Amino acid sequence: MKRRAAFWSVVILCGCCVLAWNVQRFVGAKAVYRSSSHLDFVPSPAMARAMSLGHRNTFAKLRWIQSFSYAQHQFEARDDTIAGSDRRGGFVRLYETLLHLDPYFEPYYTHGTLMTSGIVGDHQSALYFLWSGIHILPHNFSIWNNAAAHIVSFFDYENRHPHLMQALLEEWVACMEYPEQTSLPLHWISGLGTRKSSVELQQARYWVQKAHETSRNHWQYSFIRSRALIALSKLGIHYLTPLLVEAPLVHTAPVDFQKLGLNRALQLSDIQLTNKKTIGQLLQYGILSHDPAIGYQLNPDPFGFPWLLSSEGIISTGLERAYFDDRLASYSRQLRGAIELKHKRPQNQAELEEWGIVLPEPPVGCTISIDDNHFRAVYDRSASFESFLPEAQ
Amino acid sequence: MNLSLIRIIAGATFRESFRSKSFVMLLVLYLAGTCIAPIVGWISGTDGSIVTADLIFSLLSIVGVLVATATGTALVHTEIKQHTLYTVLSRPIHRWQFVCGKYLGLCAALIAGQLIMLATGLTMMALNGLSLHIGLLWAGLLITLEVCIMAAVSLTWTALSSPLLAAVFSLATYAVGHFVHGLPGLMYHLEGVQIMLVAGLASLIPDLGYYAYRNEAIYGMPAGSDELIALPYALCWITLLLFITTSVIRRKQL
Repeated sequence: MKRRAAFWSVVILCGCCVLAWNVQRFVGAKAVYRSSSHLDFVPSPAMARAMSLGHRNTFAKLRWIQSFSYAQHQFEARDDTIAGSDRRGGFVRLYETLLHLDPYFEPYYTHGTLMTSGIVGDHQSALYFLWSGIHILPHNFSIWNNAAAHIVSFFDYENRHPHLMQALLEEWVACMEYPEQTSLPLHWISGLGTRKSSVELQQARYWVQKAHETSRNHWQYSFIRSRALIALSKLGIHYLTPLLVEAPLVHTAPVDFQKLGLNRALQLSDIQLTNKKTIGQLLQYGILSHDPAIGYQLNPDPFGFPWLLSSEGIISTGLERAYFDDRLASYSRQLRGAIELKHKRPQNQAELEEWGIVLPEPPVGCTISIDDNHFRAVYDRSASFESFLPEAQ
Repeated sequence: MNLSLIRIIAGATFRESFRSKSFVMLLVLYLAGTCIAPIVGWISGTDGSIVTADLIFSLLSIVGVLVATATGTALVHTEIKQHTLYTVLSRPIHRWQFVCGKYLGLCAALIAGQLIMLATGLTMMALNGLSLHIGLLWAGLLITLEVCIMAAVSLTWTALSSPLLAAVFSLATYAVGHFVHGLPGLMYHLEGVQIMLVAGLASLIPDLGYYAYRNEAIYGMPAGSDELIALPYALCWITLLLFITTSVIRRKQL
């Protein structure tokens, strides 16, 4: 009896230990973004269909989920070249295969567009995916919306081919099954003749909408958010430049915009203040805010940094930093190649230069470190922007 | 023709199959799979209902075929091992009646298992937010037909070889059976005699691609002409395979 009790005690103890050991890995665990530079196994569509053994949808979806780590890597690397005789990029080949296997799954069209256009800048391929989506799922509002936004943002159809744009929007209305889905294209059509939407506005609209549609926990959220911020900064520059160029404020050296009191500058610019549409856009996208007691206020740029005014126009310091981050990604590629070749990490700046990697001058308040074979730019938000100004340097 | 003998053998086989450990364990495996499937849906970054439904239908097919193979290949072998086959065959019964009885009993057990799995799967899909429609039932029915063909295939392979080899050959037949459906799209790689040879060999395998309507059913797409010929196509293959099995067993010295 005692032996039996001892045996079961040991079994229960071992069970508890194993359970505790497994559970402790989840306690306080932080989310880790998987990143992979390889996109292994992208067979041709016909081969993938034969190899899926009748489980086309499951095969495609598991392959798609597995490719997220490659997409994560591409947010920084921006080098979509993969092995194989097919000279097209990895994303185009991957999504072509996925769409052949499982053509009715809507996220492939929107994600395929996001990856090829947003990351790699291949707008033609993105448009091809969207047209395929419209062909296969003609009643899908989201694909039509993406296609229309894409064709305006990247092909400027509203200005270059307004009649074709109108035909596209009319076709969109005709394809919708529910009346509430037609309000957006109908509004678009009604404004087509009178509105001169800028590319910047369309881009901002597209990315801000995407950011609203994407959950904060989604793996693509940070990328979409950064695109939205860039688009909003460009929108701010686009609208603020004429606003201030026409204002009687002439500056030869950069000055901190906020310190000048934009309210006054705006009030001086009568022409633009009467353009309620422009002001409306600036208010809508948070570039300006309005307080009845004070008037219009210029907010910091979408990244939370100041706008600067130079003789060349308006500078968004946050956007400059985002551009610097993008530039740094190509240096990271060089660094990875050099580390693989030399089997060691550089110890200091001099060694880095010895390897032929000369980093550009970082923006104010930025320190560059090497983290997991990548360059990382870390910004000190408290850094004074006075140092941007020639007088302070 | 004494159908009551077939019915008695089928009934005994049904009970035997339904009570077999491999049958029950694979059903449990399917239930575990359907519970885990939503996790993959969550990882996908979509609402997950479609991804979960795809996985559940794939599991329905894979587990169904595994059950058919595991149970089908063990049926006759267990009878020989336990010497019960000799008791049966010593009665005034034809070999074809024995084979048909065994197959029908196995099919009845497999259909019952498929219905349990389909009901569980559909419940899980509904819980994950997928709206259920008649197309999903039709897809489940086609998977059941596919499993019935695979049961006939496993019986044939059991008659031709050992149980272990029969299981391997049956699973290979399942894989090749689906592969041949996509083969016409790859024929441009071949030329001349190669095309004749590959087309000839592919024609000897049941084309299981006719039973993959699940891929369209998930999205509510209507069934096409391929799905309509699935039933007569399955009946033809099952009859042919049972004929081969009977012929082989008739010649066996048991």
